[in-house]
Amino acid sequence: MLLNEAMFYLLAAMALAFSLLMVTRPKAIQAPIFFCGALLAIAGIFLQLGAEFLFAMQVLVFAGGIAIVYFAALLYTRAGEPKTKSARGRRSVAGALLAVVVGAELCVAIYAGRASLRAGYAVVPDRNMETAAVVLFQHYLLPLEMISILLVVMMIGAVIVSRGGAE
Amino acid sequence: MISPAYYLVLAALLFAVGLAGVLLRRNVLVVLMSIELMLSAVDINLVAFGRMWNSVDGQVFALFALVVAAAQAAVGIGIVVLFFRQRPTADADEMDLLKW
Repeated sequence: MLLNEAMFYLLAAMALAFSLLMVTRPKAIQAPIFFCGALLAIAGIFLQLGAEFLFAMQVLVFAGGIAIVYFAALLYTRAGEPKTKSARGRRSVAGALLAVVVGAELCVAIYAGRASLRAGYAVVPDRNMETAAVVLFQHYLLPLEMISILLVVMMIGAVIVSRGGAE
Repeated sequence: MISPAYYLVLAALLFAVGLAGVLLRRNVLVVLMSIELMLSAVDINLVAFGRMWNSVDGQVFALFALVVAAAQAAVGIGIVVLFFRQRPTADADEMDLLKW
């Protein structure tokens, strides 16, 4: 149990540290690396919550695929934060303030609703992934099909969009 | 099991960091990455609530959210690449073609 908590704190610290680095480091080309680290830490959180399939998907699709695609796109668009100076000082302060306020507000909401939170099973039930598959293919079959159609549309759309219109 | 509140707080903090990235960064691709981070933070919430009720529905919903996030990344990067061909910049402030 103690090990479980230690893992949670380690993964949470990793996720927060990597995402903070991603947002605050000025060089845009470094961002996908930190992004990848944050996503891997979140994948670890999924594993700890007993969502093995989501863990695998997060590692394969996000940390393995999407982060690399972002890296390639950054290289293609001449990575680096834009050089032009504009009056963004005040806007940056306002943006950071807004983000802090939203985070604090969410934490206050969680604190206010803490009475209705309860812990689930201490251990992940056996055949967890099997149950997830049964639920996915029996109760959520229609949404699953819709999601696959969305993926096909996305693939065709991405190809058409990045080809640059009709020749 | 660790109380769900810890996971919720973690998700809230990650969401806030992602929001800061969206508001502060000027490179469109970094902004898109920050949006992905916010979506992943919401996935943590879904899985944590699913675990709280000992059901896998939360995981299924998080899977759907993951797919939508992947679609958003692919199309978003496509649009950025297309825009880069029109006007060689990745600066969000320069993307004002639709502004009157």
